[in-house]
Amino acid sequence: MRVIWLVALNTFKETIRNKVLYNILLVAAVVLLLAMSFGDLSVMSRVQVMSDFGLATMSLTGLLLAVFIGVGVLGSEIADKTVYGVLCKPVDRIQFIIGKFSGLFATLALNFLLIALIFITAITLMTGHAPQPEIFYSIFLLMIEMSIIIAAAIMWSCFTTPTLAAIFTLAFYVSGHLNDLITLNADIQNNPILKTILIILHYALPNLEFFNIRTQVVFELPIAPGHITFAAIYGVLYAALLLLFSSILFSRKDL
Amino acid sequence: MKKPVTLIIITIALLACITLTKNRLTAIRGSAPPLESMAYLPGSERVKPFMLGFNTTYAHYLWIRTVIYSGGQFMGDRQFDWLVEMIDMITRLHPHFNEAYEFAGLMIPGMSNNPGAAKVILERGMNVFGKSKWNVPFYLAMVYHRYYQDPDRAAENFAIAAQAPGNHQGRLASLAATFYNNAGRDTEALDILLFLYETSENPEVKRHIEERIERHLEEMAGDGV
Repeated sequence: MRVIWLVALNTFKETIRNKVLYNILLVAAVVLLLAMSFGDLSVMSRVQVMSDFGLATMSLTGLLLAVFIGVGVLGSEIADKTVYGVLCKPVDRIQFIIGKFSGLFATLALNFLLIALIFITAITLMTGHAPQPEIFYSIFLLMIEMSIIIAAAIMWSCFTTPTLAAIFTLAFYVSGHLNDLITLNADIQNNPILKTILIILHYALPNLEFFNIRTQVVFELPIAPGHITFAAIYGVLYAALLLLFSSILFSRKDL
Repeated sequence: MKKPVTLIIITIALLACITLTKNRLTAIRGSAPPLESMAYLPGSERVKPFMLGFNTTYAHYLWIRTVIYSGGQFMGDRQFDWLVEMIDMITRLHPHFNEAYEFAGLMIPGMSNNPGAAKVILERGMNVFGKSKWNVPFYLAMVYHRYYQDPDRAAENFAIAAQAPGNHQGRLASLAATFYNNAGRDTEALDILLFLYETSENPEVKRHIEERIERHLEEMAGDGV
């Protein structure tokens, strides 16, 4: 456990020094402040547009962080051969992967905290009262979603180049959000082979739409009972599976 | 690393748990009430700059959403609160979207109980298409006839529809003449029939209009005009 903590701490220190992180944070802050003027787009409520825009910005920022920092964090260790300095010590490769993931997740959580602060301040300033508590559920689920994306980024960077890993991670994110369409296509498919392939894809790829409760939050609609809990369990399990695959791949990798 | 057997067992257990959770989440989401996805729709003029030139693409996307929305509401509570806004936005983003005007003429007066909105959208369509499409003035004429009991405006729009090229000219001319008659404008009824008889190049249409002119003249003679 101590080994994981040390790797995580080092990864966290390394990533918060990364200039990319600050650029992404700056972009997020500017976009969120701009969202205050985008509120006029709505015919019903500017808070709704601002909330939607803010949550979408957080999702996009998380994705950018997971892709640019997540992919680089392992890839650069391997490319710069700094990984030897760690693995020659009594550090198991699975501990190294979990440590890297934890450090990255901590960076992402800090980033989300900062963006959420800007976002909530902007809404409070515009409306004169704090946003509804459901907005925090949405941010929580976004973080769970991003944990899957970070785990995927680490998994891809275990066996391919950083550029390809970034492309794969983006594709993974997009296909995860289109999972419902795969189900729809499987339902109307007459070809049994294609139908089977689509069903396998449906189960193999995560359904990232489970973590998207923005519409319910923005329009103050009820969230189905149990949705948050099961979505969180699902996200944790999926991230664990990806980390397990990463560990297997990394342990077999000839460094 | 742990032994391969342990890894396989952990993987299978994780996969099973993920599948179970996924199915549970799908069931939870399926039992939730359907979302009003069009809960806000900004004005089209404000949206246009954000379309980055993809106005037509967005109009087509919105068209699909409109059809899905209409179907969903038709099978549900039959409240079509957002239909007018959606069609309005489609026709503003893509002013030549003929099907949307047709939909406006057919569905908005009845489904949304808003013939006024249908009239406004169709009149905008008339400005776009002029006399090139028969269906826009035809549906506008139907709105005037059915919801405003205005045979004058209905006849005028049927007359415009009859002037649009196509095989429908004969029947529409006949309809326009009937409505002019109902409005007490017999001379204009004859004028539109004669105009279409002279301008039409389709022999079938000419024959149809000729019959209608003869009937019209008989009626006028009977009335002592």
